[in-house]
This record gives sequence, structure tokens and C-alpha cells, in this order.
Amino acid sequence: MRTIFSILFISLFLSGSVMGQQQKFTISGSIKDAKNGEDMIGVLVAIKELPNVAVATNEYGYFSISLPQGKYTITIQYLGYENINQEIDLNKSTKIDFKLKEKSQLVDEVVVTSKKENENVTQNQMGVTKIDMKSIEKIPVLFGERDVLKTIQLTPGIKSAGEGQAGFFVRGGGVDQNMILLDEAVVYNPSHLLGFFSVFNSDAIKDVNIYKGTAGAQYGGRLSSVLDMRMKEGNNQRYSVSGGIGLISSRIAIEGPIVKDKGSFIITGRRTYADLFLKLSSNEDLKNTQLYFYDMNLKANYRLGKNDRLFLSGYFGRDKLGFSSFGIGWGNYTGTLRWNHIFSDKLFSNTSLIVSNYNYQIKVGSGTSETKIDSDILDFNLKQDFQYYLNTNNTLKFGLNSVYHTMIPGKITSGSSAAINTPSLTNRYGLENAFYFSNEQKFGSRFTLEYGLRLSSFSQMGGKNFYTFDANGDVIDTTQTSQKNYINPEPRLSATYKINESSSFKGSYTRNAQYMHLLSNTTGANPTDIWVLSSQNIKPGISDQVSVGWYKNFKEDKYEFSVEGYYKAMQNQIDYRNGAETRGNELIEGDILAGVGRAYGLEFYLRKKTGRFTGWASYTLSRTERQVDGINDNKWYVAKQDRTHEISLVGMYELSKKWSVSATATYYTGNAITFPSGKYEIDGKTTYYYTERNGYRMPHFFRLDLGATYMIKKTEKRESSLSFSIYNATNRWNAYSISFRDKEGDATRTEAVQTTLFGIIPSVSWNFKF
Amino acid sequence: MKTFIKFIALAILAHLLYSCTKVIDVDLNSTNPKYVIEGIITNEAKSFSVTIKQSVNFSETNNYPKISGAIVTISDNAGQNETLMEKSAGQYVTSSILGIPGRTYQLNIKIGDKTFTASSTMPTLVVLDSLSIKKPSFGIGSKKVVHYNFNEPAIKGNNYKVDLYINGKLEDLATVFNDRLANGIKISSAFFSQDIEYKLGDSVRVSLSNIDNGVFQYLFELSQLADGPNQAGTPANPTSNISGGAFGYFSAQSISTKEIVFP
Repeated sequence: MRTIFSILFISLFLSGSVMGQQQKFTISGSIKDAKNGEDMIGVLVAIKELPNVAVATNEYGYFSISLPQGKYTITIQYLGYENINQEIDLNKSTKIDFKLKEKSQLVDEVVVTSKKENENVTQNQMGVTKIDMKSIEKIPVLFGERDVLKTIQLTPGIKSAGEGQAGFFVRGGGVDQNMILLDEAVVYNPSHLLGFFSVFNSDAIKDVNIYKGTAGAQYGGRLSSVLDMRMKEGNNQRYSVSGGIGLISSRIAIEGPIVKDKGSFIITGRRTYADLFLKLSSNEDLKNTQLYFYDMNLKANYRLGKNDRLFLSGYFGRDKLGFSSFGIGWGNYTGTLRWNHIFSDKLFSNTSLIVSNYNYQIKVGSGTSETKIDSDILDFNLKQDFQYYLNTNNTLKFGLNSVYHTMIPGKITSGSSAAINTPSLTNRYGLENAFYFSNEQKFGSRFTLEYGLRLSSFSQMGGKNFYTFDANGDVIDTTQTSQKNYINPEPRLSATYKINESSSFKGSYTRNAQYMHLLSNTTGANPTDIWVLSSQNIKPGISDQVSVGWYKNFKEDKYEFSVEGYYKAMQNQIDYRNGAETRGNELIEGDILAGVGRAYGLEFYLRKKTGRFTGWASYTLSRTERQVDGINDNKWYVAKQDRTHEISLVGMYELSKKWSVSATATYYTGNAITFPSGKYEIDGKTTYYYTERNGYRMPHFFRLDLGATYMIKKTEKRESSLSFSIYNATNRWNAYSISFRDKEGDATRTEAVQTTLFGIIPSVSWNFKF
Repeated sequence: MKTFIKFIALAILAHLLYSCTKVIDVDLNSTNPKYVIEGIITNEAKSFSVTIKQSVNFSETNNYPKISGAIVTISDNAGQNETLMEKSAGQYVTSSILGIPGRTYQLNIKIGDKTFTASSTMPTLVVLDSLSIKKPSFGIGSKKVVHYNFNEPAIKGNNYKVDLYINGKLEDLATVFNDRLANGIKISSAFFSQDIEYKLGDSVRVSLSNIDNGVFQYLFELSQLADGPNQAGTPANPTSNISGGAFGYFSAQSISTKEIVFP
């Protein structure tokens, strides 16, 4: 590995010096949406005269290209926006900001672009899916609640953790192996209402990218994926209010300039009112039930000068579930303070200070018999990222990241006559550090290589009661200090070979390490699942993934097609001994078993990007297996999330200026599951006899959702529309769970019973903007 | 707790929407029959029994073959030793052996050329103080229910199984817990179920059994399974304290009982 790197370094500086002989100047600047001033991410800036030169804007809409003196035409193209062609006489370094105008519907149908964008073909990044926020607005969903997490589950390689679950599995990883970032802050629990909704209000979100374990060196900390979401900056041109009123929730967003063209803000909020319906119930118990969630997103940015910009963003959300004298509340909050600084036209810097928190509280009883359990995760995170646009062939990224974790697994306070008197669980502290470096280097016109290394480390930081366990999980030693450190070099490599303008081959190798683990012995996520840090008993998870893919665009870039194959090997995957109690258990580490996993698959994706009909089809063929000593006689078994086939179809069609319709269809093989094969009797009760682990399959799943939007009014500034949706339009009874019981009315036999969560659910919501 | 939360959430949603169940056909594999052994010895002065049956395939009726002709012995570490009599098919009973807290009991079974053994130590007796009738301090509903009250000993490591009998009939509600979260305090708990309907004049009996760690492990895993395969992670056969490859358990347990008439 070391020799490869030194060769690459030499070639990097050689190529720099060869080109450096001629006098060069830099064009840098930013790209914004003309209508609302939002920074535009990932827009390709190309030079007409030099077909091999192109650079994409970064997360803050910034770009930089260095070229020899001369006359050039800068071309900027972005799907759904009008093209820009600007001539420039480059004889000094120049700063230009561009504003892109959205195409009107009419223009879209007539104009045929002469040059293709081919972003998916040319971009040196694989295993990434970018979600178009406009399609999220059109895709029909449960109760009409637009949902980022539900939409990404329709793309290849990403599987829902089950109907009514916000959690998801990426290429065979667990739900805790996804890093979910909102403006760089980790969101530990993305579920509202036990997973029926995600915590992300799509009104506040500008950009969504999910990397399926193949992210660059600037990302790390989770094995399976990075879901990187960026919040809107807010309109810096004029004030605007938008919102919606739906069947179970309403939302509102207010945005506007702080100082026009210099700074802006956005505030969004959402609250459900399902509990208000419960008040109408005649059932006393339901009447006194609390069941709601709310969330808020806030963001403000301000340009301090030509080279400095500050961003402040935050999220706050909370769920409440209460039932007579039992109550549970949970939620996340995050805060991000960012400072963009342009050191020179080639060196862009971003410094972020981030705080993330997840907390839940359970209250049982009242008065002196009350017991409260509080659990908290608190992270303080410092990130420093640099992007150095060395020359047209090399773009360097380097930086560091340092996170201090505080874990309060269970602080217990109980009244004098409470039924629980256990001491609080021991707090844990840890420091996670990473340094990274990567370079995206072009070799000629066809070949691009990005190579990088992330060096991550984890250290336990104080605390007490560190346990050592024997092979049976019993404590053999307790110490009051522990100095466990882990260091992992994580190489990242990705290569693109352009076969021609519209097709390419890509390959990549990625290693990821993970130092935080979610303790949950169910498939889905519960609000009370707790996160733990790596320790002497829990080793960091490690994954190695190799993937290859072929990308092809056709029909003037109207269609995009890709096929990717991957093989992933995973180490230190967590499972539990039989009968492990993951809640309130100081000695849980003794019940953890570590094993290995492997996952492989093929992902096909076909998308139609423009025209009156847009949409995509995705198909995933995959297999996921685990091997854990102490489970299934130490033999390999298929993991729960193993689904052989998964197909999603998404279609959106503009019928007229007033009406647009959409449909999504999902089919997948049922999850692997353990069913009983036999039965016997214990204490006079039928008890089931299990043979092989995950030896059975749930029935296959199919669902068709339909949606329609009626635009009541649309002008430059005002919009008013009605959205109709039908969830599960065929009213198919999909199996949520299958359980076994004595036959009703005939105690001499047993039967299997399937529970279905949702039948057909129609809904309507009214959306507005002014 | 987790199941409880999910249960509430689903119960509420079920009222709001429609969550539906139906009986389905599942094609299940056949199994090799296994011996199922249940034996309990307590501190009560009575005859104790050990039953031996066999498992069947899921699709068959709930007629579990009773195993006759086994040689069943129970001994303790103080010199008691008895070979049990087969009272009826598959049911073997003691006539003289006494259950005394603190002693370790050994079960030996020979069926043909197969041998199964288990041992269990009878924990100290924890006395059930009283039963009382009041509104639950937490949980669903505002109806008065039967609570059982006892002082949990200060020494850690006690495991309990609590059984409820209404008018002499054992209810399917056995609760298994230990003192991990509630050591050395006064415990006052109710059976948590919407299914119990106490009626005026019902005779309610509660028995509190102190069980050893191996039995607790078995019964706790068994209770996790009772939630259904999708509720408690991946289901597996509970870890039995019987060696030799049989299902079931052998428990030496101290038991304390109280009775009350529902007013």
C-alpha cells in the first residue's frame, strides 16, 4: 500500500509541475439559484474549449478551476435549469458568481440541449444515489407525509427495515451502520412515531445524497452508508411562507433575507395531531393517551465579506407517548456552526462546530412511586475540511475530525415507594479522531482516480466499572480504569474509465470502521434502544467493500442506466446470547457475541430524467449472511435483512398544467425469519420447537401507491395545490408479522396468524406558498 | 418494556387505522422428535412429579406422546435418593423425598440407552406477605386489580416465578423476574394483562417461587418467546438446565402462597 501511495504522490507532483510551466490563472466563484439565492451543490462547470476540464461545485456551491491564459467559454448545465454559456478572457485570476434560472415547463418540452450532462457517467463516485427533492414532493406516501427516508428506500441497494419503519439496510448492513447527517450533525434516531415517519421535514432539506459504503475519505464512522442531507439556506431575495395542512399533521416554513444577497434564514416546523382525534374516542384509556411529535429546523447564514461566510443551523424534534401513568418521550437535537473561508482562489476551507444529542425518558408511576429513566447521547464534534484545487487534474481534500462522545445509558431516579431501585448505569466517554487526505486525479481524458486514506482512532476517556467476562458471559474481573485505544487505517480508492461521452466503467475499494454500536435485538429500531461505544469487550466493526459498475446514458441523456456489483466483508458484527436483556443491563457487554458477515449483490437502475414522464426502475439481487460463534452451531446463516429480489418502480407524469399523477410499486422477497418446525408442551402451554436460524421466509411483499396533485393556482410568487394519495391502492394484506398460536375454537391444533399493518389508506393535503 | 411500548403504539394505531389479522398456511418442515422433561420439587410436604413427553411436528394435533418405562431418580446432597414410580403414562411421582431450601437436587433419567441429567439448588424461602386489591400504579386501565406484596431480601441474586390462580385455575400469566432492578425493596406488583377479569367473589391465589439461576434462565427465555417470533428478536429454543439434549427443565424451588377473595 505504501508504495502505491508514493507512486501516486510522485505522479501528482509531476503532473502539477509539468502543467505549471505555463502561466495559469484561476476562475473561482459560486453558483446560486436565481430565484431564491440557494447555493447549488454538484453543478458541473465545464470549459467548452477543453472538453476534459470540468469541476463540480462543492457543498457550499463553490468551484475553482485553474487554466492557462486564454479565451474560454464557461458552460454550466444543470437538470431543470437554463444553461449558461459565458465567454471569458482569462488574463488574471477572476471571481465570478453565477445565478441559474429554473426552466419553465414550456421551455422544457421544446428545447433540446446540444451537450449532454452525463453526470452519473463522468463523476468519479460510485455507489451513490442523489435524491431529487422535486420528486420527493410527487411520490405518494403514507398519510401524504413526504419523506426523504421513505424515498431513498425506493432506490437500489437500500432496503426498508419493514413497512412502517424509517430504518433501512444498505448492502447487507444493520440499521445502526448508516450515518445519518443533517448539516453534518449525526442524527441518532431518525424515527418519529416508532418509525412510521422520519424526523426529516422535507420542506427544510435541499440536497440528499446517500453513499452505499463507498464514500470518500472525508466521511467515516459507519460501515454501510452515509446519508448526507443539507438544509436549505433560505431565500435571500424575498420573504416567503409555505406550508401544508394534512390529515394527521401540518407544517409551515418561513424564509427570507436577513440582508438581501448577504444573508438569509429559514424556519420550518411540523406537528401531528393524531392525539386530538383520540380525545374524541369514547374509550377512557384512549382519551387520556398522548401521542404526537413535532420538529423544527432553523438555519441562518450571513456573508461577512468576500471570503467569509457563517452558517448556523439546528434541528429539534420530540415524540411523546403517554398512557395513564406511563410516559415516554424521545427526540434529537443538533446544532451546527460553520465558517466557510476562502484562503485563496484555490484553497477552500470549512470549519464546523457541531453538537448532536439524542435522548429518551421513560416515566412510570406517579408521586412517590414514580421512576424515571433518562438516557442520553451527547456529541461535541469539530470538523476542519480543506479543498485544494491544485490544477485541472488534481483536486485535493484533507482535514480532521474530532468527536467527544458522552453516553448516559440509563440515569435512574425513583421515588421512595417505587418498584425499581437499581443504581444508574455507568456513564461512558470516548474520543473519536480522524485525519484524512484524498486526491482526485485525472490521467488523460478518460481515466480518473481518487485515492485517499482516512486514519481513524478511538479512545475510551475515563468512566468506571470496566468488566472482563469469561466465555459464558460471566464477570471475572472489574477494574475502575480502562485505557482501550483502537486505530484503523481506512484506505479509499475509486477509479473511473470513460469509454465514451455517454458510458463509463467504475471500480472502488473502501474500508470503513465503526466505533459506536446500537444495542437492539429486534429488526426494527425502538426509541429505547441504546448506543454503546467500542470497549475492551466490543471491538470496532470493520467492513471492506469492493464494487464495480457500468454506467450508460442514452437518448440524448434522457435516460440513465447503471449496474453495480459489490462484495462486502464485515468483521465484529454484534449479536446476542439467547435471553440477553439489552435494557437496563450494566453487564450487557457480556451477552454480546461478535461474528463476521458477508454481503454481495447486483443493483440495476434505469431512470428517465426529463420530459413529461419521469421516474425510475430499480432492481436489486443480493445475499447477506452472518457467522457468529455461539449461534446456529457456529455455521453461516442468512441474515434477517437478506432479501433475494427487490424491485421498485417510480413514475411521475404531467397530465396538464393543472394535474400531475404519480405511482410507485414495490416488490420484495420476504425477510429471512425463524419459524418453529415442531411443538411441545411446558407448564401446560404449547411451546414451539425451532430448528435452523432464519430458515424460513416471510411472504413476499407488494405495494402500489398512487398520487395526484392538482395545482389550484400557480404564479411567480403564489402557489396553491391539493395532493391526493392512496397508500396500498390494491389493499393487499402484506405480512407485518407472523405468529403462532393454539387454534381458536380448537385447542387440539395450532395455527399461523399473519398481522397486517396497513390496508388501503387514502389521504389528502393542501399545500401553499406565498 | 419494548414490547409494551410497541404494543401500546400498535393498539392505538389499530384503533385509528385498521390493522388486520388472518390465519394463513405456512409450509413448515418436519422435525426429529425430542424428549420434553418437566420436574419440579418444592419445600411443600407433598408428592412431586416428573413428566416425560415428546415433541411433534407443527401440523400435527397437540397430542404429545407420553414416554413410559423410563427410570427416573431424584437425589440430594444430603443423602436422600428415590426412584420414582410411574403413576400414569409419562408421569413419574415421588413418595418420600423432601424438598429443603439450600440443598441441591439431582435428576437422573434413563430412556432406553439415553441418559438425561439435571441439577437444581433450592433457594431460600422468600415469604409472600400479603395480597391487596387496588388500582395499578402503572399500566392500562383504572380498574382495581390484585397486587402481591413481599419484601425482597437485601442479598442480591434472587429469581422469582409468580403464578396466579383464579378459582383454582392456573392463569396463563406466569411472571418471571429477578432482583436485578429491584433489590432489597418492598415489592407490590400486579399481573399486567387486559385479559384478566376479576369478578366479585373470585378466589384468587398467588404463589411466589424462588428459583435458581439455571431455571430462571430457562423460564426467562421461554417468556421472551411467548411474545411471538417477531417480537423478541430471533427466537431460539430456551437454554435448558437438563443435559443430554432434552427440552424442558428441572427446578428445585421454594414456594410461598397467599389467597384472597375478590371483594
